[in-house]
Amino acid sequence: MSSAIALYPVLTEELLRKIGLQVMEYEFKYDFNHQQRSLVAKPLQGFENNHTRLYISDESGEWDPNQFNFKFERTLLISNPYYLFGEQGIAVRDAELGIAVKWTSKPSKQRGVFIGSSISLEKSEKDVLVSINGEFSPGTLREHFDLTTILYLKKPGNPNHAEKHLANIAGIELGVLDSFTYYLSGQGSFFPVFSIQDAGPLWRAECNWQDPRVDPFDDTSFRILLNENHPHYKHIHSASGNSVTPLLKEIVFFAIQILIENVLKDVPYDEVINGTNADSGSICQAVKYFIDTFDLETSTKEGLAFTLRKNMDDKFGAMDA
Amino acid sequence: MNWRLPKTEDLFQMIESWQSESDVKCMADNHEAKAWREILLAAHEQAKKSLDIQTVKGHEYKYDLLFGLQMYESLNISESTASDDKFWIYLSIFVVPEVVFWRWGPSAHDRFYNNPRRIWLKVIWWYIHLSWQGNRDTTFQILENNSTDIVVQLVERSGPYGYRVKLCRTIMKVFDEYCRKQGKEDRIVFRKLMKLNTARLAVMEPALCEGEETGYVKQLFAALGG
Repeated sequence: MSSAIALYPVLTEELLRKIGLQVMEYEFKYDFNHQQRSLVAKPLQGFENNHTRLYISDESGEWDPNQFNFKFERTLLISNPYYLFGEQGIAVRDAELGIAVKWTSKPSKQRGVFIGSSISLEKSEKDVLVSINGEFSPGTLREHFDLTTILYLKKPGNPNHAEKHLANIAGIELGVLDSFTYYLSGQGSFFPVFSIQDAGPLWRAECNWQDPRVDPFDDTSFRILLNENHPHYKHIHSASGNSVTPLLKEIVFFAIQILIENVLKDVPYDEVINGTNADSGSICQAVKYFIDTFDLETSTKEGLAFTLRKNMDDKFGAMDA
Repeated sequence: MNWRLPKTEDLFQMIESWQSESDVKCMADNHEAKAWREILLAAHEQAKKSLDIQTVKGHEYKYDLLFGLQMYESLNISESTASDDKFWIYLSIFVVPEVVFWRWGPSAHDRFYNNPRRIWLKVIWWYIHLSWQGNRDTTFQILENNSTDIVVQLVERSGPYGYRVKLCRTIMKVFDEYCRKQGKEDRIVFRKLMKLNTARLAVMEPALCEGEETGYVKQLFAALGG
């Protein structure tokens, strides 16, 4: 991953407070037979507090991202935009700022930008309403994607003496307002659980990596597949749909055991625990997290099975499957 | 759709067992796979015929381009399908193994399944997709003078969060204009261009620049003295 150090002032927490930014939630929609239907984004369990990971849910159950489009709309209110401009701000007084939503989707191998309306002192010094919308064609997105709302320099201005330090090139990013990850499949589980329909057993785990120190822990490297066609599938989900059933817990314990044992075959225990050579977000790091957080005993199979159930059982409120 | 694949070890054994063309067997027998097979074999035969070749040696890029354009148009798949490595591994090993074998020879594990960035069918599809100019003829024209090195430079530089499709298409178009002006394909310039692009993307978003992607790419070329 690359990062860059900005050599010019960008949006800070303090400046965000000063400008009085109010961000409305995204509204999601899709077209169905010449009608617009709404989609709802719900936080994943475990992310109710900060709402940064959500899954897209269609009450009618018809929406399939391969067959239908996907649209969003969003409104922001900036009460005091003048703090953004001038010597103490982030842009030259007569420059124009813009709001954009960047989308990225690693599993879909694509990214792009939607451009919203702009902000300038010339237009308005108070209570600027910024709107932005975007549309994805059917078949663009897969698995999950991120939407990041940013502020950028749309049109450079003419800097005065005191404004020479400000960024003044069109296209430069001046800060992130917020960022969310949306999941499209498997009820968007953070712990990668998906449903399939075939003649196989009730569930299976898939491990697919070349090097667990490098490969990211995500739904392509590790996942649990639940088989909807299996007669016992109905026991996996509780009637209310909210709590985790004992059967599902057992499946998850078993799958984590498979994950940990497979990783420890590839990478020595000490290396996993010390975190040496493991990339951030890698499978090794996830395994280290499980072992550390739940105090797992990995030297024997029965020890691992025991500690998984003993130490993780009551933690499930925070781990949706 | 979920393309279920055998374990990596089994795939390894399969590819290893193919040492000559006569060893390679197509194993897919379902309806959908047969339709894909027909499309891809037709593209293969057509590309061989237009180049009048029996083996690929010395014609790698021209073959990839002709085969790729035909495959891209007739497969007609979505980006979401095309970004699923399993789909490409399935096509490579189970649908048209003999075509991949013809192109790469024995033990080409990376080109079949082993290296997601090198799976040949996938690379060629994305090369065409990222260069697409709205129709086949124009796309062929802007790509005809390139080489396999350009394919690698374009497709393997996806960045950590995926391709900016519009930006790639603009780069390919402007690069062709540049080469035509110079009177030659210049892979050194292309490498430099892609490196500079990667550096600039850390702070710039091309779609937000003046003149959007086109303005951004012109600035890139200007910075290289093009």
